[in-house]
Amino acid sequence: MSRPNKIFEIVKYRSLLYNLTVSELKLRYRRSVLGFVWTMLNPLLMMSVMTFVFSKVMRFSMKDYSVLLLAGLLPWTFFSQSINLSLMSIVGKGQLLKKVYIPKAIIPISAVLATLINSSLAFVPLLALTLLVGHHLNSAILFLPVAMMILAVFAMGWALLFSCLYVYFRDFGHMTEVLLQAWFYASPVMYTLEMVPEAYRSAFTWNPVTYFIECFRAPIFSGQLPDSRTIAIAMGSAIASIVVGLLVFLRYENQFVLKV
Amino acid sequence: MSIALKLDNVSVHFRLHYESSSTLKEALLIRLKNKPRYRELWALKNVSLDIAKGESVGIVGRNGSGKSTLLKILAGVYTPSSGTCRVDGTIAPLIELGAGFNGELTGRENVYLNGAILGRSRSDMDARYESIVAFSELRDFMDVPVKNYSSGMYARLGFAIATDVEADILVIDEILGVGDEVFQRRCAARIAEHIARGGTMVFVSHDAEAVTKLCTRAIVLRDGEKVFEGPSEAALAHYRATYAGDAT
Ligand SMILES: Nc1ncnc2c1ncn2[C@@H]1O[C@H](COP(=O)(O)OP(=O)(O)O)[C@@H](O)[C@H]1O
Ligand SMILES: [Mg+2]
Repeated sequence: MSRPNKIFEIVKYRSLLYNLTVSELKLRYRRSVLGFVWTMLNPLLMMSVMTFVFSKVMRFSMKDYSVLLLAGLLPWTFFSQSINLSLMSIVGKGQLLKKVYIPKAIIPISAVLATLINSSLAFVPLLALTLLVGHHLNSAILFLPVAMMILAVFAMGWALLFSCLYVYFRDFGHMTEVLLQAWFYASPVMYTLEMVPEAYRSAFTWNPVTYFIECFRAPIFSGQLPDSRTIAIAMGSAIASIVVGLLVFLRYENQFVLKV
Repeated sequence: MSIALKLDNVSVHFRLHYESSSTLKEALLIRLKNKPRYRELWALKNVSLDIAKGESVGIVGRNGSGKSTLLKILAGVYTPSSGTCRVDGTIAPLIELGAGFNGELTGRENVYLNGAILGRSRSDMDARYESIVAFSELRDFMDVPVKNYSSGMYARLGFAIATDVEADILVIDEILGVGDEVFQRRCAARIAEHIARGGTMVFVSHDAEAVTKLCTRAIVLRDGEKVFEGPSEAALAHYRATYAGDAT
């Protein structure tokens, strides 16, 4: 089947996409009493601890550091959870793949969508807490859904790539853990670019995650839209990621059934 | 006469790994020891087959001769290692009934899930839900998790979903033995309907009578090779003769 056909087929199987996404979410909250409340509670607890540690223990002087931190943590968590969840998703559906034909890209994409829904819920406590600590929000936060969409496309590209690699190299699971850990510290989540010594700063401009975080931090922390260069680079990275991810994935997907 | 299915020199190759060497360390160790890491298995060897629209073709052969593999090639589950497979029309795969059923979900939820796996939209399934339930005769069990179904009930629901859409090509793998006699008759009737409508069918069964009754033509597979192709009576005779040869 040609590549455009394969992409069209993903659209045809959209009810499967919906089904896998919903069952992923159901699975996550099955038998947990608080269910979706955990998604909201998590950032709340995180923020309380962080605020305490950074303002009282480490005497960090920056105003509203906790808001800055959470605004960076939310997109990073979305991105890293998307990858973690999709990494083994193809192998996990191995039995199904041996029985029926389905467009396999649906599987990692649904993992990202489930994470997207989950992470979007986390905005509720985040914004509530931001107001609670006395930080002002303005209409710039209307940009956040757009930022989430661009980041979701970016995450899908990586999810396709990683889930495909994992089929061939199971070691990749451990490597991903290390890689994400390193990537986290190399991204301005716990700090801002301004805190980085001038000499090293240019290195950070090569990390696409830097721009995604800015897309969230500008509206929440600074109350303004990210500058157009940031948006353009984020969008460019998202497109590059999904194109490369799809090309690699569709190139190898026919062999998956022999490897899972 | 137009062609519905065309297999051209199709081979399918599996590697049966002795030890799983999916981690780097294992892979290196095994390579150092220079042991054979896997056995090569050709499940199909240079099989060519043309099936015209409206034709019903049987496939016979012993266990492990490659019948299911051939059907899975047609259904797109496997891709040929070499050769090509062309399909003109929609396929209703009756290879693994209820593939992808989730035991925890109810019958009703699984109807939608299975429909989605077959690429059907939600509204499509809404429209077909009633007739699927009616055919499966499981109306009282639609709110029960399918893990509590008997294997016959499981297969009934799977068959009802897969055949409710009028596909151009039925691909059937030894599934008619499941379900009780009444249901088997209803399945047979549905298959006969499909043939009468001018549908195409590829049929694997150990039931010689069913093959001769439903199929005009049949092929015999042996160790992945097509060793005979002809009228189904003759194919079955050939199969029995080889089988007798194997037994001695
Ligand atoms: N996914 C697979 N991986 C490895 N070997 C397989 C796989 N599927 C089938 N085989 C092998 O291919 C051969 C043919 O199997 P199959 O097509 O199921 O035979 P049949 O349906 O005629 O009984 C068997 O030897 C079987 O072990
Ligand atoms: Mg079989």
